[in-house]
Amino acid sequence: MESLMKKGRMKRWVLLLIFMMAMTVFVGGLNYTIAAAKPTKIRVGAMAYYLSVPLQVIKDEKLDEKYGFELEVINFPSGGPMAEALGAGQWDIGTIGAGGMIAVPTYNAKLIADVEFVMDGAWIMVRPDSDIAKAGSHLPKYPEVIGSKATLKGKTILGTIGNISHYMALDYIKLFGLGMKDVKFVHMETSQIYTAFIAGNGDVACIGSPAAGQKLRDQGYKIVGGLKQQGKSQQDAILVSDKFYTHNYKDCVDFMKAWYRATDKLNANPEYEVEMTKKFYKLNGRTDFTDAGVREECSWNSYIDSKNAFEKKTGVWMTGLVKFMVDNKTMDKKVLDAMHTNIKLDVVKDAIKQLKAEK
Amino acid sequence: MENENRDKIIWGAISLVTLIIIWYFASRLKSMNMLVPNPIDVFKFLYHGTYEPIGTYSIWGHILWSMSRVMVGYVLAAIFGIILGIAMAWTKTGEAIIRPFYLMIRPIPSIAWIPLAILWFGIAEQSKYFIIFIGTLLIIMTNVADGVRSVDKNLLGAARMLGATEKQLFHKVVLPSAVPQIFSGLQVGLGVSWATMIAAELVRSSEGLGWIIIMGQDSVNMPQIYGGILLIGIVGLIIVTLMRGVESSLCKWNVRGR
Amino acid sequence: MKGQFKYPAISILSISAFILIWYLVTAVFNLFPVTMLPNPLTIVQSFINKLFSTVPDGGTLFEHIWASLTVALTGYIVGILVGLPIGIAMAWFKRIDYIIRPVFDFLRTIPGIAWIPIFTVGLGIGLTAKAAIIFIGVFVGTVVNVYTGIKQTNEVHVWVAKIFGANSFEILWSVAIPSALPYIFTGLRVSFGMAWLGLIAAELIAAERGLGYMIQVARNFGRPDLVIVGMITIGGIGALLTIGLEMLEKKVVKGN
Repeated sequence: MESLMKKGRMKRWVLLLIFMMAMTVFVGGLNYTIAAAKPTKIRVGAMAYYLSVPLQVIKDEKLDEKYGFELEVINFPSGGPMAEALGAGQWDIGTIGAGGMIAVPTYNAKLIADVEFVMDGAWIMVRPDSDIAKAGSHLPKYPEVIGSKATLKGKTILGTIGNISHYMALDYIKLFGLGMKDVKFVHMETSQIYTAFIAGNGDVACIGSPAAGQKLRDQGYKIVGGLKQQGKSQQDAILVSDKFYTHNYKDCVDFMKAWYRATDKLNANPEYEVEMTKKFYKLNGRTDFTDAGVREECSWNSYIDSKNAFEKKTGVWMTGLVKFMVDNKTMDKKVLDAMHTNIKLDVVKDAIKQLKAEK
Repeated sequence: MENENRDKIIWGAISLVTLIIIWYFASRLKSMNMLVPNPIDVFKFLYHGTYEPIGTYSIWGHILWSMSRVMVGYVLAAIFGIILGIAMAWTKTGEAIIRPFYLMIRPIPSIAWIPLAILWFGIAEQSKYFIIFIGTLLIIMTNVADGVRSVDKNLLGAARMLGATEKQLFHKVVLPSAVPQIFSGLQVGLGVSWATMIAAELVRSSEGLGWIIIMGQDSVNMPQIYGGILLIGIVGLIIVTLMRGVESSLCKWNVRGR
Repeated sequence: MKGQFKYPAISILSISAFILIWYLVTAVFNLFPVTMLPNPLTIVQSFINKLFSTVPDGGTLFEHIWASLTVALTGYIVGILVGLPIGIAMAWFKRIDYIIRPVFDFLRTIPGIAWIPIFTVGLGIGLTAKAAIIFIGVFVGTVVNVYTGIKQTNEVHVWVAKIFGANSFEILWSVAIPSALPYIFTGLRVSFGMAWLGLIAAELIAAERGLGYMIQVARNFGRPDLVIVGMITIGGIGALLTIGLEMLEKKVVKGN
């Protein structure tokens, strides 16, 4: 480089070269990350919650080998980063909750199946001495929903925007005829809500994770609402990236075969379900759960398995979620159309057909 | 001089001990017990952490992970920072090309890059390197450019008069006199890298000093949160001190007023 | 090309080239999906939209800017008010230096963001906690600069003042502080940069308005265009304020 600098003019070219080099390295780095997936290795996005436990069964029972693919589990702390990672092409199939309302319309992921048949554990909570709790139940349609328009007005609600707690909160205040402008909705990362709430901040906490909700409940905090309580039973979903769905359709079917074998096994034996859930949480770094808590969580929830796969219409919950966000002007209208076109039922149909033929 | 050093150590020790005593009594106040954990619990947490894993690694493992992230991001930032800083300060053309970008990127906090870093580089190590890199690059560039610009004009004039070529001027005059400031840039940059690392580990990590704090927060484990903060302070202090040592032994001729 | 216009022209050319390349790889050659890197025209569109629209975060761009400025300025002013006297005391009185130094050296390597869990518990989720995160950065920056400034006081001046019978406080007040003013002003400007850089970390605590919050929500909703709009706004305002302070500094320091 130095020997080039014989004349002043050369220096400019060297500088330009350096600048171009910097740009090349930068752009090169971008390209490097868009690596193609190996045909039989399926990168499955997961979270250390109930919705991803069947993956542990697939691993332990070697169901992936049996159905001809290799399972690689990639863990995420919550749905937001998981949706982002889909944008970066980092997983092929994934189990996801409210993050799906971003992942499906934004990144054209295909919603191929729902995860749970019934579910509880996402709650809206207040302090025991809160006037909201004292207001009692006023809604004949939802006897478990507590509070009143007068007590809720002007209250500070802690939640995470773009996540299940956001939806839960919007729906809750809407039941009392209130909108976002009538309350103070404060956005926090999920992990911070619990800490901030027990430290005395905010009036209402929207807790999406059962473990934190159980802990609060056991300390005497009151449940005033929640997805099940508000008649909006949560259903997590299984998504496939656009690319993987188009190019690896057969692998998607194979994955769903293994998945249903796993959920059949979990639904057949509650004790096994508890053990696998604890094992899965522990292996993925969760420290906040207890034996009793996991037992309770398992008793609330059950998976969709090969027998009841067609009993509920797939993707209804997620579509409802997106529609709700659109109605509340939090998302664009065109998102709803993208949601509808990306629900694909063929994978499950083929998987169930093949599983039946197996027997 | 002897006396001064002794004074320094004595008063420093007194201040640290007083702080820990105040901390201890604060933790025993009822109104503070949620906010301030007993220092003994924090030191216990740290001590156990040296041989028992917290998550997947013991404290040493977490330190190594954090350091490895800092090192990759920092070294990249140092290389590009020195090259771009010199380019920006030594020629007007270089300045005209680079400066607009420099002005625009400098006030953007490195955390603001997290969403884009994830989209571009995914959630693995590369995005953390990138965040540390971008946070450090601008600081080093600033210092290097300042160093090159502040070269004594008389010196340059004298060298030119004696018939030095541009290349000689750059090698024999500009670089040597800019070295102290380049080093101080590298030192400040290292501190910034260390701080940015915590932000980078917010992206998604399952190890590292930032992770210790985040996990402590998840489970409302105050001793763990304080322990994590102490570790960041202690290791950061050691790194910066080492860097200062390297600097003073490499640039002995220049005693900066510190 | 005439001499005086040559370099600005090169600057404009380099930015235009950058934007052109950006446009080409995104809009024309489609090398990157929109979800990864939106094209510059989309950014401009989103920017104009965001001036009036409250989707998806519930606030317009100006509301966010205002909220962020409030947080940053509060932390900045408190940081300076605390940092100035401590920096001066540390530089002038050896004992105070020895006492504060170890704690200070330790604190300065801990970034504001690491304090979030403790501040949330201790200071709540309002303006105080957010300003406290910014305070940390500003405080450290101010102390370092003031300290360096006072330490550079010309020994001869101090000596002369001593001969005329001035005591330590008088020398500090009429010799050391005036001669350190340029440093102090630089310190104030640099600290402002620190305050602005701490903004997003501060808004991570909790927020309902603010540029950092806007980026955060845009991220949760998969809107990289709004993320970039947020970054450009932060960068632009930061640059403008720094340039403003630089001009003020030149005026004040010259006037002295």
